[in-house]
Amino acid sequence: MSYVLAKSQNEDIHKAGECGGAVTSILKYLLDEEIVDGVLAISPCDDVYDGIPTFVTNSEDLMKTAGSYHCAPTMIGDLVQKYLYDKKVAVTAKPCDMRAIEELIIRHKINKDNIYVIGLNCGGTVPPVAGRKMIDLFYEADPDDVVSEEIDKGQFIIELADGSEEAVKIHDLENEGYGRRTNCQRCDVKIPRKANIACGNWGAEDGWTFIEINDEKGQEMIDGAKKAGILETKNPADPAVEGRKKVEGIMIKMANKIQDKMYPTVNEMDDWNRCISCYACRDVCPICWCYENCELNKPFFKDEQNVPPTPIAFQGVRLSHMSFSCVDCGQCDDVCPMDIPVSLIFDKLQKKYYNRTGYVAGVSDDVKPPLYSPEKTEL
Amino acid sequence: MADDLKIVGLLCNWCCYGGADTAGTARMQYPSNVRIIRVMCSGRISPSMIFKAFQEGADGVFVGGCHIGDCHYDAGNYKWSRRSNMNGFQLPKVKNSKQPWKNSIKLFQS
Ligand SMILES: Cc1cc2nc3c(=O)[nH]c(=O)nc-3n(C[C@H](O)[C@H](O)[C@H](O)COP(=O)(O)OP(=O)(O)OC[C@H]3O[C@@H](n4cnc5c(N)ncnc54)[C@H](O)[C@@H]3O)c2cc1C
Ligand code: SF4
Ligand code: SF4
Ligand code: SF4
Repeated sequence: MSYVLAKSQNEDIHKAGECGGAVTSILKYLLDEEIVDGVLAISPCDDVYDGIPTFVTNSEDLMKTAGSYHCAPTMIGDLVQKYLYDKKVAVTAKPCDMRAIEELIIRHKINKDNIYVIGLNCGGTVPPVAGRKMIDLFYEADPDDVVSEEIDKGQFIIELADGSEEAVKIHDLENEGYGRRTNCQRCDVKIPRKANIACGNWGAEDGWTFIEINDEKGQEMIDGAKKAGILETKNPADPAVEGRKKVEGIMIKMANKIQDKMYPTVNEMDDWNRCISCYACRDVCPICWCYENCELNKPFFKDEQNVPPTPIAFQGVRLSHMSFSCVDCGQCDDVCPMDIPVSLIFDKLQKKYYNRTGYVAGVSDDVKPPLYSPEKTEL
Repeated sequence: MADDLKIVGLLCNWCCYGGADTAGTARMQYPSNVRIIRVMCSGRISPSMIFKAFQEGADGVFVGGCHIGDCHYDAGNYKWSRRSNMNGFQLPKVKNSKQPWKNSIKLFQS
C-alpha cells in the first residue's frame, strides 16, 4: 500500500474532474489502451441532482462522467453482476459498491480478473429530491445554481456556478431529517481499500487527487497512465497523509455514534408487520443474487392462491441467507413501498454477526463469511 | 407445556431421532403436541424449514442434532450451529411478537 497525489495532464479533464481529474484520466488510459471493453461510471442527466449509471466504450464520452455526484444512490456491484459479467470493465466505486463487488467475487458472480475498480472515498450520498429541497431550505442559493457538492469537516458544502461556496453543518441538516441517506449516516467504511486504488480529496492539495494504491493492479494502472502521458503524480507530504487519516477516524467515530443511536430505534417485528412481501428489496439487493432460483420462489413457500410467503418467512429467509454480508448500501430502503427501514434491520444484524465473528461484509480479508466455513468450529 | 402449543421438532436421524426412538421403545412419553420430522443430519436443515414451520402456524421449532464432535457425517452439526446463529439473532424477537404473523395480502382476503 502506498500513497500518491495525482492530476490529469489533459487540461479539459483536469478542469472537468472533481479534484485532479485523476480518475477520469485513468479510465481514459484503460479504454484507449484497450485494457478494458468499457467503463461503468456516473453521469449527470439534467443537473447534479440526478447522477445516473453510464456505460462508456468510447473515451471521448468520458468527459460527461467526470465529477462527483452525491445525489446518486446507485449500486455499481449489482449492475456489473447482472449485465457485465463477461466484459472486461473498469468501474468507479464508492465503499458500499466495492463491498458489494467483493461479496459478489466471493460468490463467483463477478470475475475478479475482469474488473478494474477505481475506488472513491465517500462521506455519503444524498437522496436526489430531498437534496434539492434541502438546498432550497437551508442555503441561500438556488438549487439550480449548484454545480457541485462536497462533504468536508462535518459540513455539507455546495459550490455555485460563480465559484462561490456555501456550507451548512451536516449535523444540523440531519437533525432536521435532511442530509445524507440514513444508511450513509451509519456507514463506517469511508475508504474502499479492497478497490485497486482509492481516490479522494482528503489529504489532497487543490487541483490534485489523493490516491491510496491498494494492490499491484492499482500500481500498474497508475504507472500505465503516467507512461501514456495522461497522468502526473507526486508524493504527498506527511502531514497530508496524517490529516487524511485523522478525518477518516473522525468520520468513522461519527458513524459509530449514529449506529448506537439508530440500532435501538428499530422494532423489527412492528416494521415487518407492515411488509407486503413485494420482493422489491430482494430484487434490488446486490447480495441477493439468486434470481429465479431464490428460495422464496420455491413452491413450498407459496400457497394454493400463489400468495407470497408471510413477512416472517420472507424476511427470515432473506436475513438468514445474506444479512451477514449486508453492505448497508440502502438500496432496499429506497425501493420499499411500505417505508420499512430495511437496511437498518439488515445492517444491525450484520453488526451483531461482526461482534460474534469479526466478519465485516466486503471488507474482511481472504475469508468467506464464516457461515460457509468448512471448519469444525462453533461461532 | 400448554396443550395448545404446536412445536415442530426437526431431529437428526442418528443421535436425536435415535434417542427419541429409543425413548419410545422404552415406553417413555413425550408431549403429543411435538410433531417430529426426521432429517438425516442437522446440517441438512435450512432456515426455510424453520420459517416455513412458523408460517404454517408453529409456536416453536426445536432442532436436535448430535453432540458437537459426534456428527455421523463428520461436521454437519457444526454447519447447522453456525447457521442457527443467524436464526437465533432473529427469533427471540419472533417469540415476543404479540401479533400473529400475517401476510397483508391474506389479511385482505379474510
Ligand atoms: C458521493 C461521493 C462522496 C465522496 N466523499 C468523499 C469524501 O468524503 N472524502 C474524500 O476524500 N473523497 C470523497 N469523494 C471522492 C472525491 O469527490 C472525488 O471523486 C475523487 O477525489 C476523485 O477525483 P477526480 O478529480 O480524480 O475524479 P474525476 O476525474 O472527477 O472522476 C470521478 C469519477 O467518479 C464517478 N462518480 C461520480 N459520482 C459517483 C458516484 N456517486 N458513484 C460512483 N461513481 C461516481 C464519475 O463518473 C467519474 O468517473 C466522494 C465521491 C463521491 C461520488
Ligand atoms: S440488505 Fe439492503 S442495505 Fe443490505 S446489501 Fe441488500 S440492499 Fe444493500
Ligand atoms: S433470499 Fe436467499 S435465495 Fe433468495 S435471492 Fe436472497 S440469498 Fe438468494
Ligand atoms: S420492499 Fe418493503 S414491503 Fe417489499 S418485501 Fe421488502 S420490506 Fe417488504
